[in-house]
Amino acid sequence: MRLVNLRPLGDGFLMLWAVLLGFSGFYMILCCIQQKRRALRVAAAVLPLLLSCFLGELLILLSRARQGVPQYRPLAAAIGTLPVSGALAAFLFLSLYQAVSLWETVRWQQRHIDPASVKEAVDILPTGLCYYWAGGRTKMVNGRMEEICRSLTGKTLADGELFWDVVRSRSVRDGGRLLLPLPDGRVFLFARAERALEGRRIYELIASDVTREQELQQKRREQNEELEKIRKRLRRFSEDIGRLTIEKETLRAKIEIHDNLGNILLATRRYLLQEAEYGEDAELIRKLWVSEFRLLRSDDGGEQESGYRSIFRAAEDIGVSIRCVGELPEEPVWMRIMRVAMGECITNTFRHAAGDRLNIHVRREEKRYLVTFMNGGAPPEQEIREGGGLGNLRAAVEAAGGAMQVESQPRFVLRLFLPRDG
Amino acid sequence: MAYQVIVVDDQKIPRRLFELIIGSSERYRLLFSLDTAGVTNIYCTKYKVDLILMDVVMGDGSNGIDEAKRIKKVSPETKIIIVTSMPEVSYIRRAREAGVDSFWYKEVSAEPLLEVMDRTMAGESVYPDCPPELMLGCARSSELTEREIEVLREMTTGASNGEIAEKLCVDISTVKSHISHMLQKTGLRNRTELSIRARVSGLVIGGENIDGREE
Repeated sequence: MRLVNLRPLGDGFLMLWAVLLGFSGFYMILCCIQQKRRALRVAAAVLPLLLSCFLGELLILLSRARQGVPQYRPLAAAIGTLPVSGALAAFLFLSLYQAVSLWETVRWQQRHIDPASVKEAVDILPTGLCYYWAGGRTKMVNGRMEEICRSLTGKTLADGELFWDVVRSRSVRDGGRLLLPLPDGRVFLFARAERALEGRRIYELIASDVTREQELQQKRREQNEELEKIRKRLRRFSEDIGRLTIEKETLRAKIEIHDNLGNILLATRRYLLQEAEYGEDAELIRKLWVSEFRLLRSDDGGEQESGYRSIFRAAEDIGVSIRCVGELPEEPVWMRIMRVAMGECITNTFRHAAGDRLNIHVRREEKRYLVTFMNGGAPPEQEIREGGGLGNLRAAVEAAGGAMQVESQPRFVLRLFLPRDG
Repeated sequence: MAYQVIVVDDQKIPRRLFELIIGSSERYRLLFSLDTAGVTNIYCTKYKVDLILMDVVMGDGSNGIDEAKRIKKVSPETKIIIVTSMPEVSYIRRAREAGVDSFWYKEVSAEPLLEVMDRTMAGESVYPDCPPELMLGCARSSELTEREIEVLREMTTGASNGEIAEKLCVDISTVKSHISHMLQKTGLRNRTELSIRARVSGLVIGGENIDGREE
């Protein structure tokens, strides 16, 4: 069948087909331009449009010829001899071509990253992002940063530099970090960095949501404070329990005395009632009573000798008199060290110097005690080597923040420098 | 001739009891009765002391075992018996290391003190096999390892895990592991309860004495 024999209906169908192909060609060209495709691709999109226009023009010619317009007859005669199947094949080919082009265009759009897709992705990030040029003009602001700006200022982010100033003024510094608390309770960590883009300076602002981290840190701080309180109470408890233990021991001893008293009373009663088979004699019972009275007399609630009394008594007991000028330190830590130092000096005075006197001079300065020990008796024959006693004393003094000095010639002198806040 | 004895105990009543025990025997003569360990070596400088009965923990912070070590250096022939009511697990070991001749628990020892004194002066070393066993929660004190006891001792001073790790030269995770094991063994709820129970029972006594460095 030839085109010239085509009925008007068939003619109209082909015309419609050509129009549709034209529109799809036009759409493809627009897509390629929008996607900024290469020139060859754009040309490939233009070709079907041109062909469909050409086919449509041919159909119009045939139609005009059939209507009896004389100038179209020669051309129509030539076209009319073409087979319909040929025309259909051309239309099918163009349709297939357009379908493939459309599929390729859609696929390309799905896979290709363009500025729009970047913006779309960046907008859904939980982190705030903002890029702005020197001077403040923004290049890109994502949704999160826009939200932060509105929360802070009530306006959209138009000037990056102004926004950064607002952030800095309302942030809290935590070490080197800028933490910005928002009115809704969220906390963001802000950081700014300088970059280069297109040969110009551009600033990058990043806001990370650290709300959860801050909550956990606050909780940890509170727990640590609570723990520190418990530790202090435990330290105090440990000190108190020592005293309680001593009292417990004293109570046990008193109970034993009480039980002894009970037994002695029973024994005395039996003796008085002359229950001879019991076996006690008067002398034994008397001795028991004497012992018990001694114990009862010693239970006078007296406490341990405090301070330096025991060391002074010990010196006296071995025949070394202590002459002390100035007030001895009363702080517990220095009192313990002083007792050790005094013990060491008393022993050395007796054992090495064969002396009977120890002089202690205490000078109380504004920030420290200066304590000087000098003993009577013979001076050292050689340079003193700090052995166990003096070595331990030095370690103890220095560990407590003090200092120690030892002189051997012309005589032994020991000096202690003890900070008054120790 | 009677042995010359020094009694050292910071509490008057126990000291008095020891004095009476000594007084009841002709084999012993009381030389001095002292209320602090820190001055004992001073007496040993001048006097010939045959035997010292010494408590461990003194109210002024001095420590009988550390003083015993010092005395043994200058008077090795002086016999020393540590007497204590504290079941602190490290005392027996530390006393042996210090050269203490005998060890006597005030309340639980089967032998009377006089018998221990006689055996010590005869050259015998009388030590209990182990410290008295205590219950700590659901666990016996003997079920805790030596390292766990060391960690527990530091805990009773209120030290943090970091401080304990530094003191014992171990990793902080090791300290946490020991504490976790102890809580599992004892069935106690937390470390605070563990520390308090350990301290009250006398199983461990935290803190160091000022003189206790290596000689």
